[in-house]
Amino acid sequence: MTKGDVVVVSELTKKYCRQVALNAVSFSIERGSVVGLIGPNGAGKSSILKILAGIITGTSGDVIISGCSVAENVMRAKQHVSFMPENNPLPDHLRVGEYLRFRAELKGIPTKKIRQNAEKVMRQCDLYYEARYRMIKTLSKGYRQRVGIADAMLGNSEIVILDEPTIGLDPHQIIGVRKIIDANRGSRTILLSSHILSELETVCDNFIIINRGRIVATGSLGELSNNVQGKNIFCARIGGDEQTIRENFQGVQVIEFKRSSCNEDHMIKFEAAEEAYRLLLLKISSNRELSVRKIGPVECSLEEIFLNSTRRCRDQDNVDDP
Amino acid sequence: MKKFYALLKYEIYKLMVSPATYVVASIFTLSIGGIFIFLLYDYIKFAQDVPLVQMFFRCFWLPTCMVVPLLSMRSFSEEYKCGTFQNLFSIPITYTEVVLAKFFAIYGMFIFLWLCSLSVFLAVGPKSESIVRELAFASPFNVGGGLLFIAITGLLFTAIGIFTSSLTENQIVSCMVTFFILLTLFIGGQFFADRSQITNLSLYGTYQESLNIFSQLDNFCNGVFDTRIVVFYLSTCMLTLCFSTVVVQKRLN
Repeated sequence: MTKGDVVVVSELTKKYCRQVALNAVSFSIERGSVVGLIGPNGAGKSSILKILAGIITGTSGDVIISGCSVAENVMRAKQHVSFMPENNPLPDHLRVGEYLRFRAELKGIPTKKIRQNAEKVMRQCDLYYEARYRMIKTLSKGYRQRVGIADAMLGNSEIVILDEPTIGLDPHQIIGVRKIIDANRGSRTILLSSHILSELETVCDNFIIINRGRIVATGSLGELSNNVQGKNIFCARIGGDEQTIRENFQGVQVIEFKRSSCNEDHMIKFEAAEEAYRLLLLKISSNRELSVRKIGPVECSLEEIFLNSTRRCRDQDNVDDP
Repeated sequence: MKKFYALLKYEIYKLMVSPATYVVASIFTLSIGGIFIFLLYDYIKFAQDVPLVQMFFRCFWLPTCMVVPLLSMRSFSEEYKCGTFQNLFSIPITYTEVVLAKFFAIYGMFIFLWLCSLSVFLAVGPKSESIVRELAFASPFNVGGGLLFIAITGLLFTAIGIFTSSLTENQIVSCMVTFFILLTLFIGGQFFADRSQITNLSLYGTYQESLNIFSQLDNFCNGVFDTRIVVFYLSTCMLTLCFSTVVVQKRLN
């Protein structure tokens, strides 16, 4: 835990009768970051999110939100959190504006600021002109999701939890949700849960991967990528004589060396320690015979990381329980 | 408190915009009207030893058994089914606030319907024969006492409705269970009271007063305000609401 952590989860366990949904889960979330929570169905994502939102309580362990323990003072902890549940259930008999004003009242927003706050989030979520006076039951799936997100954005809660916010949305609407998240980046901590990994990859700074009630990996895409590969793998596209390039790469372990099909450039995939990579970078950039088009670490896609992490966890479980 | 008022306002609004509430109100009005016409004919034909208004209140069990289950069945069951229940508890409000808001909204509607039902007495109001008026309203206690008794017992009946609704997400089940509990309270109380008189069992005799709802109603209509009855209904109402709060909490976890 660091000073900048807004959520600290330690040894959190949740059991539903005999079934263990979460098994001693621990992680922390940095203030102002956008974090993606991913895992297969039934991994325990929704349980974590509901515990963080103060809807349900953990069986053991603790969750600290902005310095408040959820176990000790759930009401105070809830004041820091806004939550949009999966499928976003809404009361059908209200109009969008009415619903948001009602939620604002319940969230303790001062009476004079309720209308102003509701209008602000409706504008943010593109609801103000088209859906303000519409009954919720007449809204399409996309609009309903927007109402849910607008509700989560109401007030000044530090942490916004969105469970599957882009489920059932078309690409335009997904871009809209992404824009809303980007607008709040830095000012609020956003925790997202989704099965659309490419979407999370674009939006999130950090990731938490959960499987069978256990955290299997946490960190940024680069960190997770290194963790999955177990080593630092880099890729370079360099123009120049093949012999000169090979001479420069003598200190590192080259995995793949091939000539680009469309031009005279060479594609080199290599493994190196951080220090060796820095030295190599200095060496090739100072060499006038070579022109470095592109160089950097090879990052696995979130999908690869996810599949690898969950598979590894499953294999471990199979070894533990023969 | 501000959040409680917001919730109460929301619950009342939910009742007011729901077509089901108007169906329930219509059923209630029809049953009240039917009972009143039946009693009025009976009253005119045969001499009665009790005023019409007291006889009318004696039939309060029938509209109550119909209206309370129908009004209360949606309170929690619908929220469970739609999933809005979890959404509600993601904001800092207590279980008690939610249960009380639902309770008072339904109780308020119940009392409102009964107050409206008194309009049937306009039929024997100022324009009718004075002798009929005198017979219908023997004393002001008849109306006030009867209405007060309905208000007091309504607390427990509404709490029972809220409790059964908190148990299930099926509205029909909730409605049926409430109906049978209320029917058992009315008929069972009368049955035990009758048995205690026949068998003269001291155990029954001790609780006869608290079990026989109709004899309590007669006392109230005759101006006998028994505080034990008030305490009994208030405490059982609070106990039932406490159970509802526990059930709601358990269902979430």
